[in-house]
Amino acid sequence: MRRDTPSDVIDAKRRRRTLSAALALTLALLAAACGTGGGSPTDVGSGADDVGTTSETAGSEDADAAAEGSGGVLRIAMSAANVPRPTTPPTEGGEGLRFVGMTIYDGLTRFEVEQGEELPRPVPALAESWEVSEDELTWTFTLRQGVTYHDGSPFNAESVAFQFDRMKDPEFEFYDEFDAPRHGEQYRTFASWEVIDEYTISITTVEPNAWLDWSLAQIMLPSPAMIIEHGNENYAAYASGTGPFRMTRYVDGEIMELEANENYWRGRPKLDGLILYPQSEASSRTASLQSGEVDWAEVPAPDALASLEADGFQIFMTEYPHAIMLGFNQFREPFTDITLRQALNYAADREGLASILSDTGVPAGQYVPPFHPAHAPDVGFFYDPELAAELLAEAGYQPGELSLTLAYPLSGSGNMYPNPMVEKLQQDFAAIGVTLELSPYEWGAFSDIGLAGLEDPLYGEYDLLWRSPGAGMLPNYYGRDWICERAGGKAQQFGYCNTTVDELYYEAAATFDIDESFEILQQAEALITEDAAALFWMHDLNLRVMSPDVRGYVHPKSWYVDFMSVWIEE
Amino acid sequence: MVSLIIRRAAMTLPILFGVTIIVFLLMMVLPGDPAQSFLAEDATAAERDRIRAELGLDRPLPIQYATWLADTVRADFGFSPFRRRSVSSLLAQAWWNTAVLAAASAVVGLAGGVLLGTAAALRRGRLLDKVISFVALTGLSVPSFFIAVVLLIVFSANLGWLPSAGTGMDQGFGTFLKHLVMPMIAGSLGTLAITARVTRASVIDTYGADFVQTLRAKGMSQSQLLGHVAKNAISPVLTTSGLQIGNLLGGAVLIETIFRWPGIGTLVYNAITSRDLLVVQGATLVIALTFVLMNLIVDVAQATIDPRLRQAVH
Amino acid sequence: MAVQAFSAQPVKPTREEHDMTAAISVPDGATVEELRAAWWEADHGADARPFWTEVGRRFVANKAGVAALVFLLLLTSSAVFAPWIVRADPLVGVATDRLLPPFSPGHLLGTDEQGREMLARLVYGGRLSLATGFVPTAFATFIGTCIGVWAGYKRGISGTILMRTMDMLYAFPAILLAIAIGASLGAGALNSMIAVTIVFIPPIARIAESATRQVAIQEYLEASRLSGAGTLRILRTQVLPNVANQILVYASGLVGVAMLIAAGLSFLGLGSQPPTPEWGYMLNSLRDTIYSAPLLTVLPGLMIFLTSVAFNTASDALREAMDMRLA
Repeated sequence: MRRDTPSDVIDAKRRRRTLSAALALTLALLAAACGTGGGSPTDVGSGADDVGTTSETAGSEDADAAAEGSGGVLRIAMSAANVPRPTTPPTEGGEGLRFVGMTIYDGLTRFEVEQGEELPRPVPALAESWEVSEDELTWTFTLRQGVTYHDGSPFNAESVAFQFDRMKDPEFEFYDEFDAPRHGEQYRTFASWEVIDEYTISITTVEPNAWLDWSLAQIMLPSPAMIIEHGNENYAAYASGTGPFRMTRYVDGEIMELEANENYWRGRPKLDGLILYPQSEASSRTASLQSGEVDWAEVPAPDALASLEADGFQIFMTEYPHAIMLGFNQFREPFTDITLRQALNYAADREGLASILSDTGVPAGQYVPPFHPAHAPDVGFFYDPELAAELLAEAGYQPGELSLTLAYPLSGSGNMYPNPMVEKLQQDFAAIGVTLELSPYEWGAFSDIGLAGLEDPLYGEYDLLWRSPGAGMLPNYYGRDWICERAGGKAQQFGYCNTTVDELYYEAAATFDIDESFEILQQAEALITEDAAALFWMHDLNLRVMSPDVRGYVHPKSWYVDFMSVWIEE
Repeated sequence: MVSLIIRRAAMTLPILFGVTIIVFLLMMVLPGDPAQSFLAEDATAAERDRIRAELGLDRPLPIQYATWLADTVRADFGFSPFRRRSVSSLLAQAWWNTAVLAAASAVVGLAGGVLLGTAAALRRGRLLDKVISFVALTGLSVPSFFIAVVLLIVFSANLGWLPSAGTGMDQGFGTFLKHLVMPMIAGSLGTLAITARVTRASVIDTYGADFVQTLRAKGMSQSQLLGHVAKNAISPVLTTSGLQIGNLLGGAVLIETIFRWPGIGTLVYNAITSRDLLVVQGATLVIALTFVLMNLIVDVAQATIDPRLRQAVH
Repeated sequence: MAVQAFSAQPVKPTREEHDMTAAISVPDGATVEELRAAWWEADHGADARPFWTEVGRRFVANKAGVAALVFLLLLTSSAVFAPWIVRADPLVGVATDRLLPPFSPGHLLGTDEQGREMLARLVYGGRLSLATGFVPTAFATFIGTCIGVWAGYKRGISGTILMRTMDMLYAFPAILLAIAIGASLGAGALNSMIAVTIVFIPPIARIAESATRQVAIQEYLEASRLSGAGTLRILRTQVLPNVANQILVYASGLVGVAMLIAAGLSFLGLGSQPPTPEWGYMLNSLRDTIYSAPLLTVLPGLMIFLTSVAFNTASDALREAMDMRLA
């Protein structure tokens, strides 16, 4: 256990003051922007879209000092219930990719998460550059030379093709029948791939896919040597990639230890190592942070923030592409009626909810948050109970006549705090005379509803479906969340379908200028909002807490983070 | 004695068999499809079918069960596709962690309970008795997870005296003991309370028995008397212990979650939520087996101490 | 979670304990109760009070027991008459007035994490909370008694199968059984009560069975059987009255345990669902505010604690009152 030296304590106190000042300023701005500072509910939220554009500034303090130090082992309390298995892809969803995937491995591209200002876009990683053919179907990648996997074997085009075969070709000797289907989405448009020479590989897609470089940033490349030697079943114990950290110890269910890759092609990370603990209980993570057993805790309980802040811990929050929204079941009555969908959108007291969540989230008026390039400027919902009541009457319902059932998860990373949130919604709906019944599921079972969709007779009874998408984190998430027919051939999860949105989406997906592509998505975004396709509710602020000793961390607008610049001040 | 053990052991087999059937049926009615957990959001029906076939979910239920049973008899609990490990290795790791915690909690809970219960009985009606009875009631009346959270906040977060999470087993015995303290206290409180109450009642009961009066009348000293009383009062305490150990083994899921103790409770809980059927099956069977074995030991111990019970056990 | 058999005491003299030399006179066809009462009278003198009167007298003499009983009565009536006791709405809060400390103006016990009146939630919460303690215990007592009495009286194959099934359920740790049931049936107060009921049946059946075995070997049962009484009639008139006491004492101690298991299920999200307040759910949703408002977090825990202590104290008092050897 580490104890603070006196100078550290003084340092922590100084930092605490700057931090409090920064936080106070942030809060003041937030209060001014959305009027939570004591106004009556009616003058709140004159437009949800100009709310909450602030971001936590604590991280940027370190930017000046980025060159100052190095070293230390960063101990992280994850919110996952288990150590992500270091396969490609890792288990435990976004958290797995963040802590195990992108530390042990690299992709051909990577997200530019070393900055916290804007949506991270893909930049070259193991591929130094690429070209797209005239017909927009074939991408040719020039690979980085002189890179080796942690086990010493060389990285080259063959090793990239090996992973593609492993995930996409059921006839391949090392095809991984368990991991491949989990990874389907990233490979969906792959038609074929070809090793051109040792450091050149091409990928041909089934249709023009302007966002292939985004998908590639999520495709982790493991060492073929280790898979051939140990087989897919035992590979996890010998996980080996080209990433900034190499795995030195992995005990399933307990711990993973990683050490800095001295020969990393982006330079050696400042940290000497990482230790990952799975700790699904928020209060337990918070206690571990406070007692100095970990330096970094994912999503603590919001009500612990004040006390953590007073103790000098660094609190990071920023708007990022992530939304909590409730899908209206549009496969049947009553939500085939747009007036009713609008009514409920105006009934949700988002500012009140934000204060219940200690401002760890901001009101959402549409799918993506305001900083996002596809954010539609002139549309969006906000809290207006009188308008909600009017619209409800217009839709033909007297107070007390409408009773709805919501299916939601009890927990799960990226779901914020489902219980207080749905409890607040019950009160909001009750205020306009709508009853909300709750049907909670634990996360494993809930994912099944999302995958099956409300079209499935098993779940058809639900009127509202909790969704927590990485709203616009990748442009193809628009396809995942909004087009009429999902890639697997099933209808959109809760039955939203607007063929114009589909057309815009496919147009954007084939537009190779990314800014133009986002402009087209912006039109789709506006349509989706105007359709009141879902109850747009909250944007999570990606809450993360660290000890004062963690330096050089930049809080990105992404699920993923960059560990290269982080170090521990001893 | 040997025939008693054999008879009791034979009786446990149908119990274990029944337990596996109950678990199997329970898992079948759980909502959600295990195959789904492996699939990307937009997986095709073909991918889904392949996974279902891989997991053996496409076969009829009785066949699934029979296959599992046949393997289990050969001590092969199967393979967990979710964890990509053999269920046996998962169980071994988790069972050991839980056994260590349960054993520590049992020792503290049972020894402490017997001590407190005896003390209360000997001072019946006096202040000490009242204090102990109140402590025992408290142990019975506060949710263990709440005690765990309070301990965590006081001794870890605020005072920094004790580590908040993990077993510390790989960092030397001293560190391990530090890690053990809080989960052990939170886990043993219920056992301590129940044991104290049962012991108190049993000791008071025995003191009122005729033979004690006779011995007392014969002028036996208090300490000698206590020996005789203890021998006769221990039976209900032993019965309780056997039952408590079952709860310590399988009921620790809340405490294990809070203190990040990778035991069998969390293993089963996570397996239930992810529909990892083989792990749920195997773990439940192992818990039930341990429970039944502990109670067998208790029965035998009772019969050894009190020969009258040999007749009554079957 | 603790589900535990307390050692129950014999409550009235059986034939062996009764001094058979004492002269008694009973009318022909007397029930066992009457017979025992007569024995009791013979052993304790003609002016000895009837059994239940004596139990009542001794219970009332136990101050802790009476206090517990009064507390439980108060709690139950305040839950039933909640709307007349608190005016605030337990379901609607003001988000900006959240986590006000106790003794804040207008909120005697403060407000919860949603800005709802704490006092109102605690009082209304008693309805469902007491139900989660009481209902499963009552149902399990009924079912467990039926199973145990039948198995203890009939023995044979049906009895063995019944009791071995109970053993199976018993070998399954209570909280895991409850989790599995909760996960199968879905979360909610009703399903959590079903789960707790199933968890409680085996221990009650065990107690009922062993008590019945003790009764079943008594001569008067043999006599009834020979006189041609049907099984059900014997069970109802002869067996049940003689095993009820032991079961009752044990079951009254389970009410607190039921509330604790329900709270544990809430921790896992499988307990009661909002908006209806329930102490276990409240304790859980306030668990994370323990950093900023520890006093508020303790309140629902305190209610569970007091109720459980009261049930246990009353149960202890009842047992002592029924244990005539302590007279």
